[in-house]
Amino acid sequence: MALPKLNDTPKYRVTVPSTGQEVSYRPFLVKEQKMLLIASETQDRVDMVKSIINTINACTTEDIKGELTTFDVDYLFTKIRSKSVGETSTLLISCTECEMNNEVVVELDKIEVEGVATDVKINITDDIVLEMRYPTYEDFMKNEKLLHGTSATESLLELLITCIATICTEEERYSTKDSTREELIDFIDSMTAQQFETISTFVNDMPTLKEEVKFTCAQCNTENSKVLEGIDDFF
Amino acid sequence: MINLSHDTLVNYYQVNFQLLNNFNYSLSDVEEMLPWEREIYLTMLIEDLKEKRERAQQQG
Repeated sequence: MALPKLNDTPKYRVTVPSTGQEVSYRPFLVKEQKMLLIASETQDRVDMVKSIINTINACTTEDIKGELTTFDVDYLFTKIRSKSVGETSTLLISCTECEMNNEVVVELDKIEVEGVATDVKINITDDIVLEMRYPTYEDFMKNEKLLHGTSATESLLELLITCIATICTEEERYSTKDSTREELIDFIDSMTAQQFETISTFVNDMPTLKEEVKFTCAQCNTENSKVLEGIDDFF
Repeated sequence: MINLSHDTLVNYYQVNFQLLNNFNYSLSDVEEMLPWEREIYLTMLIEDLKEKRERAQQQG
């Protein structure tokens, strides 16, 4: 029987953005790339996300503490992908002036997550504090309305319900896990416009993979600048 | 969402087939490689085939 192989793949270190935990990872192998390509062929977002999460779990050597937020998954996968396939990705970005597609090379290794805050608490009144959490892909996969929201308002409402972890008053601490969806909707509906705006800011300013790319159009020489945000923009 | 160096599943199998056919690799050898390693072997295979063709043309 063949003995196990030691040190047969290179190892790298990465910090999980939401928790600051440092973990080791290895690049994915050709056979694991096949699974990602099969998921990609399905064009089903849930299948693709599951495949990405499976790859992260297979390639990281330590147990990751807590749940991986959406931006953790995007960030970790980008890092693993950069060491597996190549540290750059060539994107076609259209010129703002003549709309010609230009090839722009993005260095995946240099992309970072911006705007991460841990332990987010929002005081919506003098005695009510909301403890917020960042959503995970599991949240999206479990909630059809979150995944395929029919309107921006519906998506925002679902995201707010997902992101409120606990509601703390002076005497009580309510975990939203123990509340029904209707109770949470009633709670959000009872907010003033200003309170609603405060918690909406948390959702709108959610951390993402972000990189500004600059290029000169090959056809009209116009200087272009585009901000790439989220995993979709980088591949 | 997952566009891995603009590769497709069809291309994935075609490249594997070429490596198996021309380099005498086994499928498990190829599948245990890193994706960028496989790309390098493919590039070398193409270069090798080009050189062989040129040599054959020169020899008439």
